[in-house]
Amino acid sequence: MDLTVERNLHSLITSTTHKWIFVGGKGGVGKTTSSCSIAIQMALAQPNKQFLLISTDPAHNLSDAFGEKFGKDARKVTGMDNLSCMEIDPSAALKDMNDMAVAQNNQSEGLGDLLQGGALADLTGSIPGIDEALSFMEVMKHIKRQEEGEGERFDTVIFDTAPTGHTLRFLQLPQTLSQLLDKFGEIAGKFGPMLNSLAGGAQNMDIMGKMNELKGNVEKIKQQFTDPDLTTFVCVCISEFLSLYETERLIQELISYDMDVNSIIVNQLLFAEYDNEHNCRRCQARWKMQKKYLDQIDELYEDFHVVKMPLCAGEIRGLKNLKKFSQFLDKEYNPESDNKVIYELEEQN
Amino acid sequence: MSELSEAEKRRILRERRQKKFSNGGASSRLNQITGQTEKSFLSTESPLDSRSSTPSTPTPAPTNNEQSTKQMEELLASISAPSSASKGNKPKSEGSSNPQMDLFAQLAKMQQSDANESTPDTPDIFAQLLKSVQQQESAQSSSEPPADAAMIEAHNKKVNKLKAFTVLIKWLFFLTPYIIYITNPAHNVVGSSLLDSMLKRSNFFTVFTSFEVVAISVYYQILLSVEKSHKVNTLQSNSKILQLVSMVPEGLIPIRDLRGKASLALQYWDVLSMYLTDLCFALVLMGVLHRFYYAF
Repeated sequence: MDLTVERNLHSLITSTTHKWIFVGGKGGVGKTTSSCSIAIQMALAQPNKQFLLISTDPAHNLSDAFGEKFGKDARKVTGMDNLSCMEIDPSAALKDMNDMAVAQNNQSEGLGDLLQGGALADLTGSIPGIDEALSFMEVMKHIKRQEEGEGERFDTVIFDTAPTGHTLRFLQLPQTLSQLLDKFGEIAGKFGPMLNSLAGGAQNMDIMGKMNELKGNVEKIKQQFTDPDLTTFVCVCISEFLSLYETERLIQELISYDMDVNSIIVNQLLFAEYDNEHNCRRCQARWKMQKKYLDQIDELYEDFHVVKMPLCAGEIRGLKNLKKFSQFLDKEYNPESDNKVIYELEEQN
Repeated sequence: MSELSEAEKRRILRERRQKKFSNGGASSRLNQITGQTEKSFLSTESPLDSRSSTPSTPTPAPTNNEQSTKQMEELLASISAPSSASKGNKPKSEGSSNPQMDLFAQLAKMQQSDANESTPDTPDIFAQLLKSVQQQESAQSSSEPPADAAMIEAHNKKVNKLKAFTVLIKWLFFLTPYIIYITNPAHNVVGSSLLDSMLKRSNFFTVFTSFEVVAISVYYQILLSVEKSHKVNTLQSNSKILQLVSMVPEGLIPIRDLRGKASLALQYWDVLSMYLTDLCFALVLMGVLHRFYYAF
């Protein structure tokens, strides 16, 4: 029985079942580069499918990584027919919400006036966790759109997530919402008619109906996120103590949420002994330190797809550079034969 | 031997991974990492090892979806500690007389430790909402098993009976004879000076209030023992106001411990209403007797 785990992401890149792929880790370890690389490789490997890369990090990097501007609506990456990107902008989404509220309340003078000038957006924008909530709403919107066959269909959504804390909160949301909605459901059962009448008979808002719909959507997401055939999490780290520690904790948290996690990308490796041209003392010392943690990673994660990625000489920005770099996710980097690639990246202005 | 399918291979590997993280394996992995450096102050307590054993989802995975981290269990332990003397495994300094204050202190501590461990994030509303919901659920399940409707009904019957008996005894055996005596125009106090001063008309409010304090205290003592035996909180299971207030998430209204404050206010109102009822009865009886004495 062959149970060896490949040191690459080939099985994920060629996977036809995965709908949600999360890429996350500590700040500054190369999450955006890794998520872009995965998205590009998947799009290249499966040209008949549509892929969407969403940034849920409030400090978006996708536009800079690809060198073109993405917004709150999905937009195709120039040069790739089946890969789109979007950056969820909490302030813009909140502004839309505010405008909608103003439009709805323009008959009732007091409230409409109050909301003019983005009061609601200002208020809700300051709530901690609102970025994660908006990202989550985006996921719900996406699922609904797919079910109703509206707009562009995406077969797989890749999330370029925010640093660990934010991401865990985002992944906790289905659970939190589900429990909160259960609680609200209990009250609504008792006070439903009263709530409906408070909401205004003219608008005829069926609060209970809306709540049940929301609950159904949340349950669906919860189910999908915990299905290993549909959802997986790719951890990104560097070969250093704090990063390794946070990766382990992240993995344990994810397992506790019943989420599948089987891949780890170790970025920024020096492979100094194979680099005869640029093998300074500092590189050697750092590589020695990296090797120490790499050994531990190999030992701790023998059942994981551990992908070792090199530190490149230039910045990995722009589609061409990303394509070059991302090939090592599909076929592991060989420091002896692939060494030249790390000096080949084009300068981006 | 036949080749394993990709899905099957993934499943086996997943099970192998989960096995490594179970039975204390998660903490020992963190220990292994922190052991790499001579001086590490990072926590080696795993969120997995401290999960509660009750599964929350129907999926047969060895771990569950519940957010019950070790910190949450500690929080619940600290909340239930003051109510049960036997569970006094917490240091005394942590278990103050007010469980609500403990809750806030623990929440603040948890938030702090969260921030230290990962990123210095501000406390977010969703995490706090989840915590408050879970705290309510777990508190019900751990310290007091949820009472069913039949039990609540039986409890309510007993409490109503107790209240009726208390009122009857107060009115029949104390208030009525006392008021008959002091309203009687021919009443003459003889005997000890203490009894004399007690039965003076001018001391009515002192005597009445003292009696009410004693009677209400006795009533509440009996009520508490009934609640303990039935494991039902009368106020929480009956008060619509409290149920509504408990649905307001902590932090939405700028009043700390809204539920605790509402519960306290309702208890005061209950005491006050008993006092006022007795006072009304006394005044009505006084009026009737006054009319009776001076009519004949």
